[in-house]
Amino acid sequence: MDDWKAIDLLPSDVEGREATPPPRLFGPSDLHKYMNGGAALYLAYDFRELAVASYPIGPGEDAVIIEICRMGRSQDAFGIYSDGAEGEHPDIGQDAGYGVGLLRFWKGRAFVRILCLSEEDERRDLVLALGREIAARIPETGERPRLMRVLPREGLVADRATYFHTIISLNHLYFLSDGNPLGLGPHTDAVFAEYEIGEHAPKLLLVRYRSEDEAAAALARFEGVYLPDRPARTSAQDTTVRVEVLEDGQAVGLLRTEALLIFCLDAGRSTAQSLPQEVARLFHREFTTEAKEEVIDE
Amino acid sequence: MNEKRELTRRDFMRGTAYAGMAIALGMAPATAAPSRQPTKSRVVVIRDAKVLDDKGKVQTEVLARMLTDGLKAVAGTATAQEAWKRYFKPDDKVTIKSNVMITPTRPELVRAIMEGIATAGVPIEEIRVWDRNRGGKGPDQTDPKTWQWQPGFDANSVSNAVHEATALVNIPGLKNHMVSGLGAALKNWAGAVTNIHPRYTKAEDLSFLIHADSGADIGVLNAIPAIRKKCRLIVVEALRPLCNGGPMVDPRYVWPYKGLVIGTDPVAVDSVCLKILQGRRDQMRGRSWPLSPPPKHVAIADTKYKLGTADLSKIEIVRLGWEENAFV
Repeated sequence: MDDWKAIDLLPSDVEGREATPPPRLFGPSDLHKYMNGGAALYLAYDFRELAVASYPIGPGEDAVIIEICRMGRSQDAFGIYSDGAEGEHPDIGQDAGYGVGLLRFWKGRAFVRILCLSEEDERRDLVLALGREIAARIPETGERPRLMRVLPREGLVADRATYFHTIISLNHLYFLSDGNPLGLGPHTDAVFAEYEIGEHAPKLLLVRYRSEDEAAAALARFEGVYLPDRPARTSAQDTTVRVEVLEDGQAVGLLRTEALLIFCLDAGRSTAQSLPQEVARLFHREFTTEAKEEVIDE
Repeated sequence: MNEKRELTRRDFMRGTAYAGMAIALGMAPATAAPSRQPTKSRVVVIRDAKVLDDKGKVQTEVLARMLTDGLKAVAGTATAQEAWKRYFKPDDKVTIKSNVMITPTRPELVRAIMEGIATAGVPIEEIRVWDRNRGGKGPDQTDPKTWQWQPGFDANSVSNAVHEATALVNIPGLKNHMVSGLGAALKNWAGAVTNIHPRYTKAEDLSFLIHADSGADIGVLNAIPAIRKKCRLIVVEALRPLCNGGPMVDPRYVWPYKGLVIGTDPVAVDSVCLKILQGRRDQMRGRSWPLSPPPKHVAIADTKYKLGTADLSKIEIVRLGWEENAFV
């Protein structure tokens, strides 16, 4: 469904001045020419194309840079947006974040960054106006990932819940291991979220696999890599919360429910026990109930 | 089943992996530090609150003074000219490895370095600056917008700019990098080779495998004999570093550190750089916020490639100038 192109959403001018040099277009195979290693983050989602243009503003070398990405799925446009969503949230697109001259927003399959490089001031009004103009041209809206709905709200730190797929995303959010024991990849849906509960700053990592068998195998692999010094448990036990207190005095809680793995990290012991259970409850409400209804409907 | 033992966060917590770096990242207690060894590498961190004005514009005179004062401290000389002469000879063909991608090195720093090297007798018009496959020559071509030179690459994907020089200067900008944790001295040589597409992760697809495994083997670039032998000096531009979200510019995480990090040991320089970024991240969050992924390429450049020392207890850090929130 390529009914719109990223380059068509770029404005023809900003304050009467055209892009210099002319707008450029990048695909998965040459994205690195624009952003070098930064391309890895975009390629970790279902990236299709990027249109970028720089518009001079004012009398000096100030400029507004506009980057418009078209992703394969709206969930992935949301995913890139959610990786660094901190800031104020103007009503632009489906979610937007603004701070210090940078506006980021998503709408449908589009993820947009507008950056004002100005030594005079942030040109906030200009950036937001451009954002509204571009958002209005995006001819669709899209769905957020359903997995985001199973995050408990209590204690969740605002703007610190990221949807992703691959190990490269997890590694830059929270390093667990230099291999990929969880078997993350384009086929996995994952969420990383930060909490503040009492004196602790626990994190939740959720990974949804294609099947229960895949999830069980990934959990067993992870436990072997991450907890090799602790007594192993049988696969029959992996649907109860396993809590281990680690060297730094903080607890980790592990739980599998159906094809979902739930990890609670850097937590107090009781939170490591209770937070995964709450996620499991929300997961069943969100997914299992509806799945049953779908079967009945058919 | 698990043939190659994987490195985990717990290894850092216990201090059993890259202990010095784990401490710098706040992931291991200081008691995990190895015993103090004789000092081997000197790294100078020099800062001046006036190097940027209130609009963020570089004050060139202040920057030039920071550079010469810092260099004197690295070289241990009484004058700046003596220091420049320690590293460069009049018949050297000097090429400066800048960075033009996303968070570019400032042309003002390139010019200050050219002028300094010229005091050692190298004709300033002959000093080159380059990144990737574009470059310029002389003080009128410090800005990438003016670059016309295309050095090309040899059969091994290494830039001819490296081969044509007798002396190299490495001047990266300091930033967090989402693939490798840190983008500074070691990683800057990525712009000296071609074929570094980050999508490929198999060795056969890539002349230099530097984006796989969190960039663990970035040191391989610095171990290229021509680079290792010719790189005389490292000046990391830390005027406005990026502590999160890099390499893409995210102004929310850029801050006016107003510093230069200068040395000759790329591993030691990067070890100090990661401590600065880590300090800023912890300050922003008000609690430990480790660089992620851990920039293990710094430690591996020490242990595997023997390019320098990553152990902060073996690095002599000389702090000069503005001290507030120096983080080292």
